[in-house]
Amino acid sequence: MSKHAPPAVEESVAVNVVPLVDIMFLLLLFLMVGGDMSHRESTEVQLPQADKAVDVNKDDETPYCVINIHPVRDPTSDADRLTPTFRAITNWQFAIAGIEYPDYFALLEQLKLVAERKREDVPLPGTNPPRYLSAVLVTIRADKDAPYGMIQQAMQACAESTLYKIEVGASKPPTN
Amino acid sequence: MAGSQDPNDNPMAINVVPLVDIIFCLCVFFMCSFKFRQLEGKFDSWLPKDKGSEGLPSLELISEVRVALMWDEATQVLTRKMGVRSIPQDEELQRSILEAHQAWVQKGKPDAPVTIDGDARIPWGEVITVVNIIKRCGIEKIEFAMGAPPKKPGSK
Repeated sequence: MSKHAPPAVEESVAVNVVPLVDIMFLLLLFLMVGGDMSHRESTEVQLPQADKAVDVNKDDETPYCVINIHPVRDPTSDADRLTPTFRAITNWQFAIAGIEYPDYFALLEQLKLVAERKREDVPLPGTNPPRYLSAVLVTIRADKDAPYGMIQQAMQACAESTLYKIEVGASKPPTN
Repeated sequence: MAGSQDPNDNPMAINVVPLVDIIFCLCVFFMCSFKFRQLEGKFDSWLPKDKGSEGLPSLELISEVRVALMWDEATQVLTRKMGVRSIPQDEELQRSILEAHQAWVQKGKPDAPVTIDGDARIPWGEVITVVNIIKRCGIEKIEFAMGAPPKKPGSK
C-alpha cells in the first residue's frame, strides 16, 4: 500500500455554451430576416407557373392595387383542388388588401374608389367632356385553379371603373 | 466572437441558460412560421383604351389567331382548339400558333393578335399556360375574348 493518497482529481464539466449562443443568434437572425412576416397586400394563393413571366419591378411612384382571387374554402388536399365543388365559381372570391369582396358588384364599388386615387394627366382623345382614365396599376393575382370567369369579372370591373393598366400575376419556375 | 476559455479573464460568470432558452423558443417560433417567398412574375395585360366589351364588331375581316378553350363539366377535361382542330400538346399548339400568325404576317398584318376565347369554368392556370405558349412564340399582342359584364339583379 502506498503511503501517499492519490491527489484528488478535479474534473471540470462546465460546458462552454458561448459557441452555441453564437450559432443560435446567427440562426435567429437568418430566420428573422428571411421570414416573410409582413402583412402584405397579397393573400396566399398558388399562382400558375409561367417561365415567360417578367419580373415584378414596381415603381414606387405608381399607385397600385392588388386584386387577389382565392377560394372561400381552403383545399384539404391537392386532390380536393380537382373536385367540381372546389372549382365552382361560388367557391371563389375577390380580396383587396385583406378585405374580401364576394361578388362582381362589391368589387366594382371598391375599384371605383381605387380608380380615384390618381387620374391620368391627359384626357382620352376624342372625349368631350374630357374623360380621364385612372393611372392606378392593378395586379390580378389569381389561384391557378380559380375559374377563368372570376378573372374575366375582375377585368370587366377594372374596365368599368376606368382602370386599364392591368397585370396578371404568375409564379416563375425555380431556376437551376 | 466566442469569448476566452480562461475563467480568470472574466471572474464574474453570467448565467446564460435563460438566454439560451429564450433564443431556442424564438428559433422554434421563427422556424415554424418560416415560409419561402414565392418568386413572382407578371404578364402585362393592359386593357384597350378605345374599345371594350360593349359595341358590335366592325364589318372588316377579323385578322386574328383564335385559340378556343372549352371545358367539359362532366369529365372536368379541357379541350384546346384552333379552328376545328383539337390540340392537346403544348409543342403542337405553339407550332400551330406560330404558323397561323406567320400566315397573317405574310398577308401584311404583323399586328394580328392571338385571341384566347375561354370558357368561364376553365382553370386560370390553363389560360396562363396558353399565354405563356404565345409569349414563347414571340407574339406580344394577346387578347382575351369576353362577354358582357354581369348585370345587377333588377336592372334593365
